[in-house]
Amino acid sequence: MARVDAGRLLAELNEGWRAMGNDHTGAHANDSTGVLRACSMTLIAVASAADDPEDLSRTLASIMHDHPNRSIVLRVGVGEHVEASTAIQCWLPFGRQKQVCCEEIRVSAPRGQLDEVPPILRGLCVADLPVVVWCRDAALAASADLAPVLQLAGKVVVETSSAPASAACHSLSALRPGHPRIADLAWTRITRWREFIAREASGLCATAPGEVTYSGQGEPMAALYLAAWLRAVMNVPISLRCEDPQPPQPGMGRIRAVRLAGLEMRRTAPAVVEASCGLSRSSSVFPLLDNAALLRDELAIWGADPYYDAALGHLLERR
Amino acid sequence: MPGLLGLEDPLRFNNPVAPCAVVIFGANGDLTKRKLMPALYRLAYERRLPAGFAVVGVSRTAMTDDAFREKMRESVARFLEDSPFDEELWRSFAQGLFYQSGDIGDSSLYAGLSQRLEQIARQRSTAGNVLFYLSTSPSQYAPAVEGLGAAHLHRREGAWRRVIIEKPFGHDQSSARELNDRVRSVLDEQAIYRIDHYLGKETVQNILAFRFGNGIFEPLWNRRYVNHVQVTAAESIGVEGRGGYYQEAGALRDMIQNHLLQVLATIAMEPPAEYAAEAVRDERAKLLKSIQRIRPEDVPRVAVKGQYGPARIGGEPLPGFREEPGVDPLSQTDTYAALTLEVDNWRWAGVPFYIRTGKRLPKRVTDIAIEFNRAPLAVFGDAGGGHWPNLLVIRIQPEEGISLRFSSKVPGAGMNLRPVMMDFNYGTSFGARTPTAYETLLLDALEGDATLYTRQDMVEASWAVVQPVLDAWSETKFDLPNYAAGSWGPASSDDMLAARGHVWRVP
Repeated sequence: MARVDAGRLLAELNEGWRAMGNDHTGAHANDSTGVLRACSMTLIAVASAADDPEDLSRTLASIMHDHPNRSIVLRVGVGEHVEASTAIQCWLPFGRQKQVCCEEIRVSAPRGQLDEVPPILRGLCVADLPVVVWCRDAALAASADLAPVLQLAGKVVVETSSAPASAACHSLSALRPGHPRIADLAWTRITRWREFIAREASGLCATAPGEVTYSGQGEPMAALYLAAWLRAVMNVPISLRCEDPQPPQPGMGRIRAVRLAGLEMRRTAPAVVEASCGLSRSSSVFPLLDNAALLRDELAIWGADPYYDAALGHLLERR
Repeated sequence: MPGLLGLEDPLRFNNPVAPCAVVIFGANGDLTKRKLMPALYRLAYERRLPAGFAVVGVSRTAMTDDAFREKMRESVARFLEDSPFDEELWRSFAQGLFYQSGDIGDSSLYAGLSQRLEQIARQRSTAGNVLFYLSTSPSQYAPAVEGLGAAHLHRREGAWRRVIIEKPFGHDQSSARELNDRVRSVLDEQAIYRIDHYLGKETVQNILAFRFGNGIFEPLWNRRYVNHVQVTAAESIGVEGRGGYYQEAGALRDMIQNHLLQVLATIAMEPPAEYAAEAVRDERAKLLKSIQRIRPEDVPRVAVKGQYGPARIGGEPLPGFREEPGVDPLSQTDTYAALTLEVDNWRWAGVPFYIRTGKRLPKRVTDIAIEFNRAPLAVFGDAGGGHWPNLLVIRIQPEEGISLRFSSKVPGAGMNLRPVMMDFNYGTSFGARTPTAYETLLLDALEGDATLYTRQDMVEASWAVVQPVLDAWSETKFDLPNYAAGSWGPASSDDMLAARGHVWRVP
């Protein structure tokens, strides 16, 4: 088995670009045809053996349109040795004649050999552009094995929606000290809730305690984040209550309702939340968001995110 | 007591657009069909419009709401740029489309419109907020605003009313002032949004990001390092059936007085204290007012008028301007105009700004080129890069981006230098679709953000720049046509630069 070498992988990618250039003879940047090489960051997507590689690939392809990047998919716990391969993904933007192409490098490593991976990744990161690590499993992200990989990143994105709250909070606590830019797609999922609350509650003088209710077993991270954010920005006590132990219908999300000083916002259908305050009623459409849409939003934020930091601070403080 | 951060999260929330309606005067016109309605539809597609959003089309032609909806459906499906047309979304969007026929000079139009808007406010909860868009012929701007005023449609307690006015804002300095006086007799300045769609272009906005978001260029952005600046807006097409209109306008009025002077102001303005409407507009206005007034006797030296003649290109005969339909065979209209401008401030004193625009030039291109001074000593002799001073090109269209020309050693023996270009292509780093200028500007107006709209003092300052040239040209009979279609303009334009030791770039 040949040693995985970053230089060789990059040479492979260059060869791929050259071949594509030859396929479009005469094409260059000013032509209306041909390919356009696009890159604004290195995105290292860390997946466990249980993750569906096809699903991951589709998500990465989908975000390329907004955030063209060199993707490095690191599959952890796969195979007996560290292995790697390269690919170039292209798409034709609507109404254009020129394909936009991005690079993808697939690296797999058994858990015991993860320490061999960071030197390879260091050689593969695009020079002078930001590096983001996206690891859906927060516990894996917080593990000591992955720490050297996370050290490469300016931002670490995790996903705690399906994790038990205590485990998720434990992982986030472990991640927080070493990485000032942590993001959680479970937080990104509640943006529409927060936006709707901001609209409906603007001018509201809430002094009485509020409440966030949810359905399903165990406190969901989304509800915990929402309550923590409300505490941070409104400075009132917010309690959490399970309204229905049955799991929600598909697409409904686990947050059922928010109550604040006479204002109630309630999810009434998969894409609809209604607000009522006295006789006044309004509703808002909450589009169903997949991983790609969430990641797209998160990758648009590079600097400090004081709103998330404040909510996470409140959340961890209380647990 | 609220927390320190507040409920709004500017990192993630879109600016909320309040419930409102848009009233388009000139709803049967080309601009509505090609630009405005596709832009509004696209904003709906992006979920940027509030629930209950409504559009009322106003025009002389009698038409039912349904006929208007069908007409707009065809237009949107045809003219939507870089974007799919979704029938389902259209059905929901079209429910908010209404039509009101009438004559702008007739008071009954406004009475009917008033009733219609009240009805729509009740049905669709638009809260009485209305954005009026004047997309009519320029002669109807003032009567339309006065009609709104007489019917008390220009303001409403507890709601906002805004008016977008399309260019041209006047056809000379005095008519611009007169129009302004009439408009201001009805509306406050804060309610007037004078649109210049060039300012809504993503790449023009990117000039601000390039200049004020980066630390390395601003120290060079002055008379010590910049030799001269060239602004080019070339079109390969002719007047394309707009001969009648164009004959009255000409290149100087149609392009330089508004679009290109705004671009120049964006390139040369001082940094604003903050990115807020008045701060940015103050700096743009200040720059426009700093442009040296052209004395009548200097016009032949600093301004060039051109008109294209016939030519054969690619085996196809192309008519000259005077042979275009609707054009006077003896027309003196400028289809090409070039100016040398100077900015009287500490940053730019002595640096010439050359601006040119024209029709039937070799290609469609709009860019700004900043040529820097040569290296102070030619240590590499004749083989060095002295012949090719550094050049920074900001490309606005068609392929948006930024290029920097610098000298590099030719590989091999000896020290021979040659110029190379370092290119940044907008599309290379951002694969996502960019909004059209009208999407950006309409959304800004709905949000009440006037940053990218021109203010009256900017309009007047722009007219003050070109008025002496217009006056001198109107008193002179030129020997036209003076350039062939497919060329880069008249020879006198090259002479204008040659007099200062410069040459036009070939973009």
